Amino acid sequence: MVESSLPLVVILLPIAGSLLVFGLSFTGLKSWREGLSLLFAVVTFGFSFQIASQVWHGARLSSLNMALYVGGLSALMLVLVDGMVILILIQSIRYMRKELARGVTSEARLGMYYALVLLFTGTMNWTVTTNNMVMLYVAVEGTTLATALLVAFYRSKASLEAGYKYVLLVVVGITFALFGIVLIYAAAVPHLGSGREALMLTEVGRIANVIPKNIALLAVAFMTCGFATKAGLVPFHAWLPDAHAEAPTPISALLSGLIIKVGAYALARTVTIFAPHYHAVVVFIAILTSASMVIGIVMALVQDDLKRLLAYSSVSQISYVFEGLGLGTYLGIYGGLFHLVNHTLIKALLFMSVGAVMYATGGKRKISELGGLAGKMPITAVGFFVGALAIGGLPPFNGFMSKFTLFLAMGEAHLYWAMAIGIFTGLLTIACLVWAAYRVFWRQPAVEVSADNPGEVREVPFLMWFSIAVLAILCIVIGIYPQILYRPLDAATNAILRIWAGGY
Amino acid sequence: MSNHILVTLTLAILITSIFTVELRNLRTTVYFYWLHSALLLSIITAYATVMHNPTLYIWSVSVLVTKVIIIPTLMLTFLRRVPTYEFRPIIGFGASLVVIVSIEIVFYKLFHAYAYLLAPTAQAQQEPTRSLLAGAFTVFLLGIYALLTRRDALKTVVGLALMENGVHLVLLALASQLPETTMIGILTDVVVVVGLLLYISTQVYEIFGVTDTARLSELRH
Repeated sequence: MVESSLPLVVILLPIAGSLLVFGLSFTGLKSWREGLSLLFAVVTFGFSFQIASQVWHGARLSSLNMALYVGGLSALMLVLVDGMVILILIQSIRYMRKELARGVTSEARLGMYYALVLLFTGTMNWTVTTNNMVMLYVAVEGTTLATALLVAFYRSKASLEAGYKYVLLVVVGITFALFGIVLIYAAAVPHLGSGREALMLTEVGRIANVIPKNIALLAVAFMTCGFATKAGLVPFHAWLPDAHAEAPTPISALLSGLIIKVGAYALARTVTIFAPHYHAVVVFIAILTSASMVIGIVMALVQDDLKRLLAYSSVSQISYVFEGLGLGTYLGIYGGLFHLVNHTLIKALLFMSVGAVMYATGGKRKISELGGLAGKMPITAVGFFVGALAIGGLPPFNGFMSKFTLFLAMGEAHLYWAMAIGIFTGLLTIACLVWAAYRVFWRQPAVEVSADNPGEVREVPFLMWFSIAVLAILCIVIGIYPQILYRPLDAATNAILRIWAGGY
Repeated sequence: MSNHILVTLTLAILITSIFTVELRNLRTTVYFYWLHSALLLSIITAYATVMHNPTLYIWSVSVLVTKVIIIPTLMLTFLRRVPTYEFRPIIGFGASLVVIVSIEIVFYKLFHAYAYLLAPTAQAQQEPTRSLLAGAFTVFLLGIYALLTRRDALKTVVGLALMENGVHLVLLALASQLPETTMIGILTDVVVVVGLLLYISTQVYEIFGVTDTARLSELRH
């Protein structure tokens, strides 16, 4: 265990940056907002990577007397979050300038936009490094609050409704999780003595077997429902499609890529500590997630709005992650975390491609209004198509590798029915996404697609396709060489398993 | 004797919950929420004295600042901009009153009788903690009931605030050793949530012209 201030730095640095960007938006230096946010994001990523490389070489970092603790799982999440924020910020620059030119937002609100993205980065880093159960709740709530005004960013009727629903439902859900956390804490106090130790996730994991069964199951039910709301699992998903559809498109990528993963992370840190002791927990989560993945993709099939389609597909895909984590075996957790990483990359890629389409066509996102764009926007078309195939789980893309791992894990746990449902959902996903890709990029449209302003639809500028290209390449590279993620994923999986075994 | 005071306060907080949920005038609702939080404060203070736990006095101060002062003020500020009469709830006044009173009595009795299923320690199954715990679970349920049946923006926020007060009572009953920094973290969160929801609701009212959150999706076209 190494005492280090780096975890504290990656929390405070983006928050300081957020305040600075917000402050500057009232001065003459407001045009610095993009560069400055990007600078803060890159430096934060640098520190995260430094933390992660220490962890991957066997060290464990802690700050403030174990209030913050970085093991393998936290290291993986830190790198994923901070790396993705950079790509989302790059994508935002041109996209949001165009929104400004279209007159749907103002200079002052644009400053707030970048400040909130940085604030979100800080709260997210806090979420994944905190070792205090109740502070985990506070930090998860912080990520919701930081993104609420981003969802309601346009202040239109639709986006205000989406923002209201998002905050209300997620907060109610997380309150349930807090209830569960309090029950666990109360049950842990007699075994761990003073109030502080009983709050530490690393300590509670070691005494999970002595917590009374009824309390453990009640708390697990509360926490699963709570974190499933954050992750948008059916039947707790009501906020998700609206929020994804009405937020600015880079923020949709942020929601699908990172926000809903918070639920999975919190589940991995809290609920999974009971999985080895109660087989009922495993079956409960398998039933919940199997229903959720089928309903999610069936809902996606009937959508005409591309962003809603992707949103429902996220409901379906996050269920795979939850199912893997809920299995509680090495292979299950490994597969769940692998799919978590892959889904973040793929779904951000898909949303960014839709963002590029909307950029080029003046905000069109209905499949029925689009068509034949492949010739005009080749890079975006390839990006979306790679994403569609990867999320459907076709080789040689990354989605195949993680889904295959998950199916093996389900087979190993003798949950063959869950495996069958998973494969069936995978087939529907291919059909849904590839069909959408075909209609948007290859089918000849009934009416020629044109941008609202005069001029032809053409490929988006470099700053728009840069993130798309990076993500598409990552999807292919990870698909062909899945072993490059072995060390981070193995460390993350072991971080969970080691806590069960009574160590750090 | 001191046990009787605590149990009486718990029952009083349950009765104010009914008024908070049922009253149709939103300003009066906020006053009853204020009373609800003030009772929460007095329970914490009484508990601190009975249990000789000085940490709880710090809890009292932070609850006083957040739940008794800031949150009701935020709600009243919101009401200065919107109509103060509640949008018709999903369920009628008489029916709702019957439902809420039955929920309260039945579940309080149930939670009280089966406290051993909810309380992780033997100490928590003794009075006065037992009543407090039953009351806490009931207040939490009443908050959910308000969220499910009320359509007015302020009423849903009040429902959420009731749920939070319920969780707070659970914290008091089961986790009174909780470090005060953690406590302050939770309370700060609650204040920001209520503030943010009311801020968004104000904008909803400015643009939609109603505070009926159930009809937003049909009104938006």
